[in-house]
Amino acid sequence: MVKLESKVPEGNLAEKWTNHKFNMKLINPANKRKYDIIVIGTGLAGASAAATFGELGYKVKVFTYHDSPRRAHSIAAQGGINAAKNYQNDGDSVYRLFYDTIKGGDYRSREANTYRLAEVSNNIIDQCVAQGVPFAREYGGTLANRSFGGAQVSRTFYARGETGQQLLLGAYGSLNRQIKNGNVKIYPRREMLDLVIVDGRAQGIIVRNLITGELEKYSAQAVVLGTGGYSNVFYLSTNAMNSNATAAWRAHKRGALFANPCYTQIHPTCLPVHGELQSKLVLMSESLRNDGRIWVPKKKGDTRNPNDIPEDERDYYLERKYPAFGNLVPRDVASRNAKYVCDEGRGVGGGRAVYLDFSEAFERIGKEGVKDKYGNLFDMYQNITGVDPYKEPMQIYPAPHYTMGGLWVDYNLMSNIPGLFVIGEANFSDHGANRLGASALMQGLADGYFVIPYTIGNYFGTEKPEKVDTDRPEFKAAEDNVKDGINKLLSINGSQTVDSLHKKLGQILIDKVGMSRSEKGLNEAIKQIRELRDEFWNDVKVVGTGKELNQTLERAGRVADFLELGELMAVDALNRNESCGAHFREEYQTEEGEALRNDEDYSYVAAWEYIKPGEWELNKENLEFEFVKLATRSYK
Amino acid sequence: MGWLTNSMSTSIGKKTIQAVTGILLILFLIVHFAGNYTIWGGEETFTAYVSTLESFGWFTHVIEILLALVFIIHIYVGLKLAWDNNKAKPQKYEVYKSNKLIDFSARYTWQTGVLILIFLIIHLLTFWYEFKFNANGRELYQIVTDWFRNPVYSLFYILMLITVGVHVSHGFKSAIQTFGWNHPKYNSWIEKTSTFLAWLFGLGFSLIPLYFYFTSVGGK
Amino acid sequence: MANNHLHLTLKIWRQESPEAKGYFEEFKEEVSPDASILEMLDDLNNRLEAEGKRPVAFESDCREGICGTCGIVINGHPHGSLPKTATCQLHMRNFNDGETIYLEPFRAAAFPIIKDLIVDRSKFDNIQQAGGYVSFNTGSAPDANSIPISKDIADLALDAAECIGCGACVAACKNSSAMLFVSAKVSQFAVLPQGQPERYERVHEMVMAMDESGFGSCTNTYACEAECPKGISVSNIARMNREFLKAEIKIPKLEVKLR
Repeated sequence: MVKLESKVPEGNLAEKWTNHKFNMKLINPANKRKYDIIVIGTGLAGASAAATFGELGYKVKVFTYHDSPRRAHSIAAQGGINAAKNYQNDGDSVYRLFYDTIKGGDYRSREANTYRLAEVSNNIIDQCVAQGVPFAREYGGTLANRSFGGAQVSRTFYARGETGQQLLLGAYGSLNRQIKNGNVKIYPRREMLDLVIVDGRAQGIIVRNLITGELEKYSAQAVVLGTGGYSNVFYLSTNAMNSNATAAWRAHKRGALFANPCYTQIHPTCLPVHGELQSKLVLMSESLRNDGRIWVPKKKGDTRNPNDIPEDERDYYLERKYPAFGNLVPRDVASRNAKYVCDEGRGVGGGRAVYLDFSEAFERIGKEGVKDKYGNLFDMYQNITGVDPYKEPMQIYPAPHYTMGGLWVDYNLMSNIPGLFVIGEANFSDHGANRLGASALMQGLADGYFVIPYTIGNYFGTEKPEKVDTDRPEFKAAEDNVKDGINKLLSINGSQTVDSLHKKLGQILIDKVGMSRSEKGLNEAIKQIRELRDEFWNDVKVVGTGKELNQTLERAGRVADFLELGELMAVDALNRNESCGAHFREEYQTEEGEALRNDEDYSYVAAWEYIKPGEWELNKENLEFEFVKLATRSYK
Repeated sequence: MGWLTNSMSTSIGKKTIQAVTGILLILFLIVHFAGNYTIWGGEETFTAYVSTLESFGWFTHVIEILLALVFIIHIYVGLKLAWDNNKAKPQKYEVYKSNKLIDFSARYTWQTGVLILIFLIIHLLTFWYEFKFNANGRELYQIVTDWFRNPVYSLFYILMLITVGVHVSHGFKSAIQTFGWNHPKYNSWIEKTSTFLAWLFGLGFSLIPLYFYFTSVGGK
Repeated sequence: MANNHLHLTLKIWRQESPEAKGYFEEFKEEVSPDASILEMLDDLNNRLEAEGKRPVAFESDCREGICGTCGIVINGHPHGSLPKTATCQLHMRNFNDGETIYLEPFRAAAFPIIKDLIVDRSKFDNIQQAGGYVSFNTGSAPDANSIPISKDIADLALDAAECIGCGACVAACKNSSAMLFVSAKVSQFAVLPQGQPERYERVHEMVMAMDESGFGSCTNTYACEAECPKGISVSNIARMNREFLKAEIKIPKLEVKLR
């Protein structure tokens, strides 16, 4: 059992972070250069943290498995980034952003963390503008905003449909400046495969050089993981091909607790699967639901062309069930209902897709009007599907998109292993059981620019970790551990490819640990995943050697970890006997089929401790809500 | 002035040298063109023009030397760029296409340049050198018209003038791009000027050999 | 959909290592027109792996055309012939049944081949490290709206900033010039007020880094613009030329390392 201390500071909600910053230990500028920090990942969180550490004078080593820091998947975020600037004078405030976020997360996040996120959101916009990020502007020269789901104010800053790209390139620029200054050293094409713990503290890592295949050892006085989420456990997700959980999972196996793994967000407006070869899913902006109407045929297995299906044979199921919010219900509700109608056999042609129809909008604002608003999305749809969405309704289906769960961290973003910090999507802290749109970019940059640069100093100041040599036995042991793992993968020489096994895992998870979960299904999933894991370790085929660029070997290691993580997701979902946010248990719903939370018994963070493959111990961090009153979400 | 040679040794610097010398050579060609067209006035007008140039004495020589210098720089830097650029793409594609109909002139700038260099040498040998050192009492008009009676020479001459036109059609707008002077508002004018210069030099100069060849054929 | 599969001949560049001699290997592939070209390669690799053969090494990540990781020269076009489309977004319905498709790596001296279709584009990072940023320490920013920027300027900057750093411009250019890539970043900051303090040092440093990296020079064929998956304009190159010349004339302390 691990003792979980959230380390949330005392005091009023609005003063906690300010007080904490004052109370934290400082490192004087001359001493900062005596501290080495390892940062894994160069997305928004990793790049912004590494750049800021460099500016402060720390010596930083940054690792990415990409060829360049700029490739990290933060770059693909489209919509925008939230901040409580209230530039639109529409009544926004830090407290309102905080409240929307905690409510959107269905009251399963840590109050003080979420408040801090809202509090520093404004600094992020200032910082990014100063870096030269070309945000959208009004004609008068001020910043433009748009509105997003789950909020009644316009607080989302954006740069066309490429906000993530522009923010990441801003952080990448800052990182480059520190690389030039010599405070940051970049190690591209390196994949972290183990965490080294010396005297109970995180003090180093083992990485594989993806070009040569050599294992390399690096030491530091702190290790920061900004390695993103694990949606790719589902095989098909909107995550990038290489996104994986390996760094976080290997840290978990070294003792870091994994929190709320069952909180995985399924985004409702993605392109449906086109066939066997599908490698990933593509997200279409949520904004389409502002003008598109979602429907399926009333008849099962209706294979008629959608334009031939008369109005009275269509079921606009969201409008029917949720007259107040209609097509604009939150992501989890929209996704779940799409699944239900497809389960009934009423999906497009009996398959797994629903229509998103703009014909009403064409009549109301004309095709030109629709084109003005969504032209690029319509083009993208046509490019990918080959169907003209101006002539035929779009087909959409939900897809795994973001994971709220992640490594457990305290208020300082440090895991239960001293010296191991986790930032961005890789940690669990700020979004509870469901994330609102445009909040992921906010969290990544909040953690990297404005939180961890302070809290890491406090760690150094209080714990005073020493430099360690990579010749120590702990490094040797970790290296051997990695080497054994690689050799094992290469020696099995079975008959199934890595991808085919990953696909099987994805199918189990999306069916049983996806949008809707049941006790029976979860138990089956656990059993099936265990069997699949055995199958993997007995029958996988990994060609090539470990001493070269070997993409199959890279994927094999990641899938091996997914096969353990997938089980933990099911275990966590089974443990959580309630429905909250993105976690929907069929046994726990209201009479109208809505999520039924159980605050009495489950108002806690489930932080799992790794014992051995297939065995975890549950640690609970109780969520205390001092300032917010828990309420039931309703969108009827 | 060390900074200047240093700055001009960069890739953009070399391009700038090409642009400056190229524009100077275009200006020279315009003057040359105007001078040539005195030939339509007949032998006397043309000879008077040649004598006027001669009468400037040392000044003409200074201009000649400067012109030669501009030519040499343009040729040297052009070849150096071509050499470096070739090194930057050591292995070519098995299949190579482009979405843009890249005009011939842009794609083969250095090759047309080399052709023009060959032409320049022959041009200087047959006219300039022959007039200066091997005239045997002939006026330039005589030398020129003699040569243009030769169909092979005339054909070669015309082909080379077209090459000059092609080279300049890319060179002019390329120079403007190198200076960074282009702008959506004026781009169409730059384009038109380029085309005009190409026709001016390609066709305009060619009219002279064409005229003298055909009049000589008709005359005999 | 299964009945309208395309039957294709693939000629793929294979090269074991940077030093090894490369060659074209031929594969027959049957594929659905709804698949992307990279999904076709996934399928090919899956088959090769099952047969115990070495799969074709190629890179990709987001598969949404924004990360810039992918890049294959397809039938002579970097990212294929479809305009403004990255390799990952190129779908097989753009090909004809029975077609032969050549797949080659980006070729340039500055982009050495690592394996098969993977090249090393780290020179791009070196150029960005030389000056592709605004020097600004975290925490010292004034309120975001204290720097008004006209919509036109913001749009112009974003047009340039959309560059995904894929290297198609270098691949398309007969001289392997990186001018479009470098000029995109130079332009973004040259037009924005935030970029002004370092405006001339930046262009100078970035051009120096570009020259040191072994890219060729621009001969204004504009093949780069035609193949760029984001449609970055060559007017950025003109702007960079202008900025560079101004920098060289105006700023006394810039140093030039002779090549």
